[in-house]
Amino acid sequence: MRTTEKTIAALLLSALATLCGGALALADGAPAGGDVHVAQTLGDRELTVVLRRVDAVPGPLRVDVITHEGSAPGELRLRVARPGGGGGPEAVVALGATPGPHHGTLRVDTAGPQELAVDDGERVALIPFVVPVAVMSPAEGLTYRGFVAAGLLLLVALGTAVTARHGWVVLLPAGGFVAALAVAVTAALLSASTPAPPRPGEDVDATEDAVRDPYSVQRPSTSDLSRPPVTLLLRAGSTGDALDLELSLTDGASGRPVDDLLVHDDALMHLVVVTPSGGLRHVHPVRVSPGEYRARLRAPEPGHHAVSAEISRRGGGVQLLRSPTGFDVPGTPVDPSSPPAAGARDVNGTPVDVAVTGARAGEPTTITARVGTTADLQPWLGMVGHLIVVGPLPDGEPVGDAAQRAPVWAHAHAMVPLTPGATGGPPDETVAAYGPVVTFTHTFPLPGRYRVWVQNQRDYALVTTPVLLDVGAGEGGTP
Amino acid sequence: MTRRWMRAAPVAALLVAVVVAAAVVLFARPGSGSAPAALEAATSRHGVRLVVDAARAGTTGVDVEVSGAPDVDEVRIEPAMPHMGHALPPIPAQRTGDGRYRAAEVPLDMAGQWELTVVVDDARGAERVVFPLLISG
Ligand SMILES: [Cu+2]
Repeated sequence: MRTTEKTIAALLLSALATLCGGALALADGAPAGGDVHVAQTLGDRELTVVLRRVDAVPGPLRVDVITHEGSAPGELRLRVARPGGGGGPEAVVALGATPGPHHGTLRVDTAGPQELAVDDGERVALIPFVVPVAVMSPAEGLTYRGFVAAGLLLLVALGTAVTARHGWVVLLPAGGFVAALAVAVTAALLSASTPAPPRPGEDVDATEDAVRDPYSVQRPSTSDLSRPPVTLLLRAGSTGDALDLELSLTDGASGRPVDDLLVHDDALMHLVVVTPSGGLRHVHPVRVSPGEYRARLRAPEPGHHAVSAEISRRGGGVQLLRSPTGFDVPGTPVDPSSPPAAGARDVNGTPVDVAVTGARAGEPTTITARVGTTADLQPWLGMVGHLIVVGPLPDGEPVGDAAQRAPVWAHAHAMVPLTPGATGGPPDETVAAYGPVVTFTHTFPLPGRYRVWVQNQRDYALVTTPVLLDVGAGEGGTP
Repeated sequence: MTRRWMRAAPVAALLVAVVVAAAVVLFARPGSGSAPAALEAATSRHGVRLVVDAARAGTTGVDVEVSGAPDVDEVRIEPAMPHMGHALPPIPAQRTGDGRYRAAEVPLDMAGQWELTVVVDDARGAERVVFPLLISG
């Protein structure tokens, strides 16, 4: 008889453990959010600001500032505050002369929308970000409470079974247990099919209430979360041997400032400038106030510059904004450079070998670049390589003018290979383990002469390889 | 005391049965992605049947059966992930028999929605047919 008692007790306890385990697993949940990487062209420095995940509120926010080749040593002051909330406590990050990561730790008091101010003494970049909280869906909450109730009722049933004078009394807690369990299981099954709420800061505007309880957010009346296109306004002001670009983003419908840019491919805005000689500048303007962005171009060339900006608005969709004006720098333009076509060349000390297959309009063209000799490329903007395409370009005129009218501006990626079973998000740029071969596949819609640039990061320096590419007519002739 | 314990036995058995059933319902996941996925479509000149060995992340073999107009010069597969704006280099499929082609190694390394475009090249030009394909993790 003792054996029977022990068996029953053991079975009940194991059942209880299963229930509690399930409930705990549900309540625990993974911390919300991940690291945010934002490329910033702040003054003369090209920086990557990494906001590490905030695990608890209030709690520490670790910020890594990655400098690149040619970054001057100095100090950055970091502050975190609610938008418009002024200055919080500061952290000073000392930037060394060696490119690489530098650290600072701040404190975050509340969940919700925040701004990180990065101050180099001359200009303050304001990076909006959201401190999320892990939330349970209503169904998950019900599952959790159901399992807890079932567990408690199971204990009561056990106690009643052992102590009650009348057998039927046991049926009360036992029935309650079955009911609670049914609720928990039903809710668990439902929670798998419950649609996730709109993500504050991504799909809809981030307010503190929306972040704390995304399920309370009224779904927009339409399923279309997208927003109007953006108008890009451009002014260029000279400051000695550098050029300060002032960019204003306004809503294409209302004309109001656009201040809902998402971090897309590790930047709020990717600004691509084609210079009169055929050079490429790819910088990441800093946000200085709502809708206002600034970037500095070093060693500007005289002549016309063509400009495009890649952005993504909250609510979805990447937009390529081509400035209809570009900008001009006074002076006589230098003659355009003529980069080599496919083949081997040396780019600032890095051997690069480019091969092209296909190169017919309307068919996929594969561009393969061998950058360096070993697998030592670092991810840049979350990718092993970027390919910028501008064309077709007529010969015999400054490239900036030709690019201003070029029908095609494109941007393809070579992605970081996936590591099966890897956790903790994609590798950051301190991992120098990719390449040396990067491959891009792009379908050129029109035949003609293109300029393409392959961009990679190696030793914290950007390697930009220009390639002249002639794309032949497709099978069906020119569309 | 022992009699009361005995009385608890059926209750306990019932509870354990319910818990086991619940655990099975909660934690059992239907398997997916390991069986071959077969898709069919037609162009104006050809019927194309696509069989993907394993529709899960990784390198997989893909069989293409082409019916209709004969004298096919070449069959290629152009994989792309529209959501990522990412295209892979075209992969030629080897002829394995009458109207049968196989690409042994198609690197579909990422889970998600893919598009496999099958290009059928013959004397009259290239025809393309697009197969949407969900790749599981
Ligand atoms: Cu960029």
